[in-house]
Amino acid sequence: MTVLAPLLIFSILAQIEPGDPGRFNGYLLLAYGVMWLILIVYLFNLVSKQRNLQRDIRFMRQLLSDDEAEEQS
Amino acid sequence: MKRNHLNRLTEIFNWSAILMVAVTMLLIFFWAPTERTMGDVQRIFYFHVGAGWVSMVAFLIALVGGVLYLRRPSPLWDTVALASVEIGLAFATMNIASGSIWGRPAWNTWWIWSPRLTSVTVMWLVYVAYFMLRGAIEDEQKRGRFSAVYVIVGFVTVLMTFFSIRFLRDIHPVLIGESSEAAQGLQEFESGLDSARMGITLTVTTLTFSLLYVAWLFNRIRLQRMLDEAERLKMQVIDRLQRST
Repeated sequence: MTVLAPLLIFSILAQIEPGDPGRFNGYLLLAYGVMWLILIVYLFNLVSKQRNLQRDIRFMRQLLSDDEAEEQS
Repeated sequence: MKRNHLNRLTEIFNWSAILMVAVTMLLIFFWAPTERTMGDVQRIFYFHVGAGWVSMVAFLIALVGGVLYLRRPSPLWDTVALASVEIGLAFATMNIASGSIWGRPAWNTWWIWSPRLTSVTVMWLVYVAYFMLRGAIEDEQKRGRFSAVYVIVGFVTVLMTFFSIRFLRDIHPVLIGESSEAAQGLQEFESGLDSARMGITLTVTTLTFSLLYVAWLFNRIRLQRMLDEAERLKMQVIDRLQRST
């Protein structure tokens, strides 16, 4: 099967004619893949920063309220 | 703007952007016509142009933020400028990467130092350097002032990029206006209706990216407010610790 796979891919590529509108589809997939990757990396960066900050704020608020309760008691 | 109001607006923009991105993808791959010479690979055009356009608009808004900061130094204008440069840079990276990949089947090369490609690289590097400048200055007010001047001056590179293909002989075609004789990769469709469908898809993509820019801008402003709050709480914690020791 592993021997047949490259042959199968080659036979599909060999069928692509010069005027075929799908002859450059590899570049189309690559371009959209790269663009989506950039979008996702930026989005992930924003979300992770936001989550870390939320956690830090919660922790510091807890710390301050514990301290205040200790002072009052 | 109140925090709840900002949160609600951000959520609305986030969900609208997600919906519009889905609609745009459907339009690009299932509704837009196939170009006569290049075939399906021409569909890169929609994201490529949309990203390029929104990056330039983002840099323009960064300039406006810079001018407003210099007029009345407020952290909000500094945040708007910073967020716009950050988002503009993400879109510019998408634009350059997709252009390079599209260049391979269209021009038979990944890269060529033509006026447009050179000026867009200069623009990208200038806006990357903005973050280096910000990182090098500790004083908040001084950082805001220097950054504001930098985004105003840096906008020259955006103008250079926009006008390079209009004033100089270039392989890169002009979308609106007359291209140079050396331009390659102009688009041809079977009928006028196909051209109209291409135009509609491009308009929708540009609007979607603009919406995505607004959504990310709101998210970035919200993030900055959280950063400010974390900083304020940190100072309180340090103060308490110093008093207790």
